[in-house]
Parts: sequence; C-alpha cells; structure tokens
Amino acid sequence: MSGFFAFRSFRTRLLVFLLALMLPVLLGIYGFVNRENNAYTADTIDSYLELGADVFDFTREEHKNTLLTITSTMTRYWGFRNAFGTGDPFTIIDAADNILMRSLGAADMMLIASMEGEVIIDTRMQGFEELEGEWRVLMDSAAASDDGIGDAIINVQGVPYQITVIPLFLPTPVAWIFGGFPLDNQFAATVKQSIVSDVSIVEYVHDGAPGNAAQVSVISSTLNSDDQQRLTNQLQLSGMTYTDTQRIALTDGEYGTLMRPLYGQPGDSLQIVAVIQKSYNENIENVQAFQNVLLQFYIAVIAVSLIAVVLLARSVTRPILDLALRVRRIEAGDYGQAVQVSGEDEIGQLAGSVNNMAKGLAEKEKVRDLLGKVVSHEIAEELLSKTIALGGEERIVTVLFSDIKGFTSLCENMAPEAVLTLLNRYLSEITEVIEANRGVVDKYTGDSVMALFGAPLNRPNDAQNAIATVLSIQSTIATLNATNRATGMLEIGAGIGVHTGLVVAGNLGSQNRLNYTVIGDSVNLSARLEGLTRKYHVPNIVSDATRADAPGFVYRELDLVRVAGKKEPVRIFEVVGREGEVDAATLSAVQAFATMLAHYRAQQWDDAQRLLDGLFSALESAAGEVSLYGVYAERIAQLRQTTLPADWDAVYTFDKK
Amino acid sequence: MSTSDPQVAPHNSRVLSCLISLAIFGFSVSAQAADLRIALQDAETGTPLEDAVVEVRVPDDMHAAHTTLGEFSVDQIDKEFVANVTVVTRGSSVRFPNSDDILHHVYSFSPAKVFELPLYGNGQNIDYQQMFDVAGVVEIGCNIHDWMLGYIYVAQTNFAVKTDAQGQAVISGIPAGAYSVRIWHSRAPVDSPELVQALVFDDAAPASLRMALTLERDTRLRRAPNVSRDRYR
Repeated sequence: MSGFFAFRSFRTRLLVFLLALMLPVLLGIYGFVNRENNAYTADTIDSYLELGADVFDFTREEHKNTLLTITSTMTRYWGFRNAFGTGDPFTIIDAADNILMRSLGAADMMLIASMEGEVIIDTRMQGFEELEGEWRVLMDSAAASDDGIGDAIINVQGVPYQITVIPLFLPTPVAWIFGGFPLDNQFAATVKQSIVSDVSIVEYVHDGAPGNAAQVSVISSTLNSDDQQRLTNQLQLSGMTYTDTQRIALTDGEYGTLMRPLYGQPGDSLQIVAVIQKSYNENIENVQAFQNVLLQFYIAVIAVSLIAVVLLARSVTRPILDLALRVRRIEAGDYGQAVQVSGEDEIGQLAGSVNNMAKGLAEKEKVRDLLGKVVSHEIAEELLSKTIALGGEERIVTVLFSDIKGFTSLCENMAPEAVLTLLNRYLSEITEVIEANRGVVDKYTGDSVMALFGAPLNRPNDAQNAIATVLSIQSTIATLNATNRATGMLEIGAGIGVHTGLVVAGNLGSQNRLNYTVIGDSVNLSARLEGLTRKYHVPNIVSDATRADAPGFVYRELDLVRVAGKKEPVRIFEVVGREGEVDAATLSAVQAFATMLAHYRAQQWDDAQRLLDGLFSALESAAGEVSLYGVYAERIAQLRQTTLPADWDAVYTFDKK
Repeated sequence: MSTSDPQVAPHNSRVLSCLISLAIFGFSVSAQAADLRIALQDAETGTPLEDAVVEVRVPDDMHAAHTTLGEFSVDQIDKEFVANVTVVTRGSSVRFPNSDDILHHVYSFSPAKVFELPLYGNGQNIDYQQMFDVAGVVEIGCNIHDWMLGYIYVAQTNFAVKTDAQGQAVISGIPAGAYSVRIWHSRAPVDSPELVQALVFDDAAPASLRMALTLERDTRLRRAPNVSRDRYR
C-alpha cells in the first residue's frame, strides 16, 4: 500500500487517495441508489399491476352484476311475463331481444331454459335443445344455491362468455334465464381504458400428461399479434399462483404480468385466465432523469472535492516545500533566513523547530569555527567528538617547537600594533606551513609556535611530516627575509626543535577551562632542542628518534648531548634538506663534518681540526655554519688542554636550561 | 267432522255444505262414510306441517255426487295473500278483495287457470269472482310485489282438506273403498312418490294418514325491507 502511494508529490498522493476513496464510495452509492430505484420502480409498477388486476376483477364482477340486474329486472316486467306466459317461443325470443337492446350493450345474449333444462329460446341460436355440459353444470349450481343465482365462463361459438343465470319468477321459478356478454377484444379494450394496462384473455389447455407441453392461446387481447405471440411463448401457468408477478418481454420492453382466474383452477386441464400487463418502461424516463441528476451531482461533488484537495494540499505542501528548501540550505551550510510559517498546527510547529534547529546549528558551527580558530581544527574536532574530560592518553607524538630569532630587535622601533600585525603575519605563515604538512598547532607562546604531529590523530608518517615542516618553515622565513631585505628591514632566523617520543595527550586544566595539549619528557626535550639551536648556530635540531622515523632527508649529526632534567644522552642532528635536493657541496660538507665528529670522539684532535679547517675554507657563501664549526674548533682547543677521564663519552652536557 | 280453521267465512260455507250433504243422504249414507285422519309433519325438523293439502281421489263417476261448489275469497292484507293456501272444489269461484291501501295486480300463469286482475285498489273488484274449473294447483302472484305468493288448490271433489297449524286435518264422508290419496305441499317435490298413497276406507274405523314429508328448501322471495312504509318521500 505504501509503495503504491509513494508519489513524488504530496498533492498527487492526496488526490489519488481522495479519488481512490471517493470513487468506490460514489460508485457504491450510485449502484445502490440505482438498484433501489429500479426495485422501487418495479415495485410501483407491480403495485399498479395488482391494482389493475383488482380493477379487472371488480369490473368483471360489476359486469356480472349488471347482467343479473338486467335479467332479473327485465324479466319481471309485465310485458315479458305476458310474452313468456303465452308459451310462444318466437314471441319470447323477441321479448328477449328487446331486453338485450334495452340493456344498451351490457348483455349480448340471452338463453331461457325450463327448470329441467330444456332450451326454450337462445338468442345466439347455438342449436341445442337440452342444456348440456357447462350450461347444465351452471344450472345445477344455481339450483343448489340459496338464491338460485349462478355464473360461469362458457364458450359460446368460440368466444368465452361471462354467463349469469337467475330464475324467472312467475311468481314461482318457472324457467332459468341465462344472460351473457363476451370477453372479446372490445371487453379487453374497455378494461384497458380503466386500468391503463394491457389485457388479454388466455386459454390454457393441458392434457395432464407430465411430459406434454400445454397449449396456450390468446382469445382476446389489447396487444398486437406480435406481442400476443410473445405472451403465449413466455406465459407460465403451471405452478404459478395468481399473486405471482411474471416478467415477460414484449416488443418495447419488459412487462410486469399478473393473472386472474376466469375459468378453472390451477392444475385443471382447461384454464382461462385474464392476463394484466404493465410496462416497466413507463417509469424509465423518471429513472433516467434521476440518474442524470445523480451523475451531475456526482461530477459537481468530485470537482469540488478535487479543488478542495488541491487547496488543502497546497496549504500543506507549500510550507513543507519552504521548510525542505530551508533544510537543504542548512545542509549546504546556509543558516540564513528563517522560514515564515504561520499557524499552530503540526507544520507550524515543525517550522518553529526547524528554525530553532538552524539557529542552534549556526551557533554550533560558529563555536566550532571559533574553536577551530582558537585551537587547530583537528583539535577542535577531537574535542567536539569526545566527551570533554580531563585526562589524556599516551601516544607517540612528534613535537616541534619553532621560534623566530631576532624578532625583538626587528620590532625595536615599531609601535605595538605594528608589532602584533607583523607577528601575526609570521605566525600565520608558519601555521599554514604546519597545517599544510598535517601538523596541529598546539599553542602560540609569544613568537614561538608549538606544533604536534600525531595528536589528536596519528598518521604513519608523522615524523616525516614534521621534518618536511621544518624545511618549509625555513624556506618561508627565507622568503620573508628576501622581502624584508628589499624594504630595508632586518632579517630574522628560524630556531626549530623536533623530537619524537611518548607523550600524554589530553585535556589539561580544570573542567570549565581546559587546554588540549601534550606533556611529557619528549615535549621538554623538543623545547630544549629548539633552545640549543642558538648554541650550535643551526636553524634546526632534530633528535635521533625523529631522524629514525623520518627517512628520505639528509641529516648532519651535530653532537651527543645531555640536557638538564634528562639523564640519557641524546644524539642530535640537523636537517639539511630532502634527499636528492641537496647539492653536492653541501653533501660533501655534511660528510666531512661527520668524519670530523668521529675524530673528535676518538680524541684525534689534529685530524678533527684539519677537517674543520677544510670546512671553514669551503664555506664562504653559506651563513650560520661558520659558528657550528667555530663551536667545535673552540671545543677542541679547550679539550686539548684538558685531561680527559678514561671513560669520556664525548657527551656535551648543558646544565642550564 | 270438524275442521279448525282460522278463516271463518269460507269454511262456514263449507260446513254448511257438509251439513246439507248429510241431511240429504241421511244416516244410511253415514254408515258407508269413512273418515280420514291426517297428521303430517316436516321430516327434517319433525314439526307439524301446516298448509299441506290432502285429497282423496275417487273415480270420475263419483265426482258429481261429491262436488259441492262454494264461494271463496283470497284477501290481500299487508301485501300478502290471505289465506296463503286455499282449497276449493272444482267449479268454485274465488274473489280477490284488496284490503291494502295500495294497488295490487293479481295474476296467474298456472296451466290450471291463467288470469289476471290488473291494478286495482281497495273497494274495487268486489264483485269479481274468478271461477276455477280445472283441477290443479294455481299459483297466484302480484305483479308489483314479487314476494306475494298464494296457492289455490282446485280439488276434483270435496274430499280435499288443508292441514292446520298442528298439521292435522280430517276428511269425512269418504265412501268405502280403495282410493289414491294425493298429498300436496308448496315445498314438496312434485314427482315425489310418497305424495301418492293408496288407502282403503271402510266405515269400521277411520283411516289414518300420518306422514313425514321430505320438503325442499324454502326458495320464496323475501319480503322487501321497506314494505311497511307510511310515507313515500
């Protein structure tokens, strides 16, 4: 279900949902109403039909009563009594015809028979002298009745007649007076006029054998011959009662059909029934008009609903789209304009929440940004990613200290603001270099920068990055010096110390005010090494540990030193440049110095001195190294005159910090 | 020889006739005269049957000796014939006075006598006498009032009598012999065999006729409901 409704647009979804809900309901209602309407229409027609059939019964009864009235009254008038009294049949039949005329068509025939059933006169001239068959049955039934009256349907010359019988009183019953009218097309037409239904008189003959079909024939009818044929084909008589309505298809549609008995009972071999029929189509215009109205109403309902849905969708979708846009912008880092959504409903609440969230995010980002500026971004991330807690972890970190020699004299004649500006420039350049080499600035102390390689995150080539940084700092300063030379400013020099070792990295300070940093012997050593650069007159000093972790560079071993606070002697080096980038002269100088150092440690003063002299002479162009050689020359001169212990390890001890 | 009869006038004549007959024939005749005691009842209900007529049919040659003519009248009172059944000897005459205040039209189409007295009122046709010269039952009716029905039983001889309310009657002076006795009632089926009895009369003891007749249903027309009006609009 949810898959089906996963449209791209909320409006489409709502529309589809509405239609999916409404259409079945509307169709259901339509179908139901239609069915009920049709049933009601059929019921109405059926009730009219029943009414019509009852009217037919009533009409026939009335006709019968009229017959009886005529035969009863007319035969008591003196003229007829006299005529009958004569016994002359020709006179009697004339008197009978006279009565028929006076009946104004209500009576069509008259037959007079003696009490024993001898036919005296018969206006229809059927030709029998004695009453037989149904006539006799009728006579007998009248004789058996209380008032001597009877009626029956009797076939007279092929036409079924409604016959009544009543005695002729002179003053006692002396004869039977039979009167009748035909149930012919005219009768059917007369009945149809009053009940506005089609009337047929149908004869049904069944010989009783179960396999044989019955013969159904129409005696008289208001239907045309085509429809009479359809009627005989479809009319069910066996098994039907007179209260069942049948549906029979005639030329112009289905007709509700009811039967009324005229002669015989259901199950008799001969039955004559009156068939009343009314078309169901009569009401069809009403039904169709109703259907049209209903359809129009539906269309209006659906149209209005669609519009309402579209409007509703819009009232929901628009603010949501605005919100989505805002969230997308937030995703992209734009915390700008707040979404204006009025209303206290869910969407309004959502908009409020989004606005607050954006504000919060903006603030956090500001803080993070700021934090990233105060500490390095990596430290900021480290801090933000973990729960702030005092304490730290031990790790191997390469610590780099760098300061600017000659900065103070550079700023002698400068105003404080200018000093700060200049300082910031240098620090920016150095920081850039450090971060470019994936180092992390730990802190600035005046003109000094402390950088970490391996904390908060360590990398496999932390030491190499540190050494690369050293070279970069030096070249940056060289560039700066070139600029300064042009403007007449004093030049500066770098002093960098690098050491790799175990530190404790973590948050130092109090809970509310802390500093992410590293502490440990390694840190101290690194700082010492930085300080020692002045002593050796080299731009950088790198410890042996770092050198071991940072291959790919050319190192000049400087000394074996013992610094205050650390018992173990440390071999220190100077990084000269990348392997492959150092020129041949420098390389040979490095080599020569290494040899000199070997002699020095072997107390071969003369060999050492000789090499030093060679280095001095090759030296005119490069600055700074003069003093390194000079340091050793001085030392040698001093050591020549000193008596050295047997276990002299050539370690130079720096007592002062 | 007595007959109980509510109608005084006609039966007075009859009694007179009988007395005269007795006087003529004297006691010698009475030695050969027999009585017939009649008691009839309705077979279905068991009640005494009134207005039944019993006639002793004697041979034709004896008719003259036992025919006494009389004058009778059948009145019309309150739109009914009174008496309903009247027994007359052939040759007698019957008057039909109208004691009602409306007109009546008396008629009969019976083969024994076809006659009519067209519309007449009280005081009219006082002297009119209809003679009934054929033996048989004459059914009289009124053309205006369909329910009015009366019977005049025209007997061949004097030996006919009508039963009273107790269903009893006596015929006296019947000559000894064996005769056919006919019984008639308006509701007895005409061809019923029980209506013809053969009886032997001798002067030793009176003959007795006790019967229960099986009658047909009463199919007479009912009196109209508004028959006793005193206004006409």
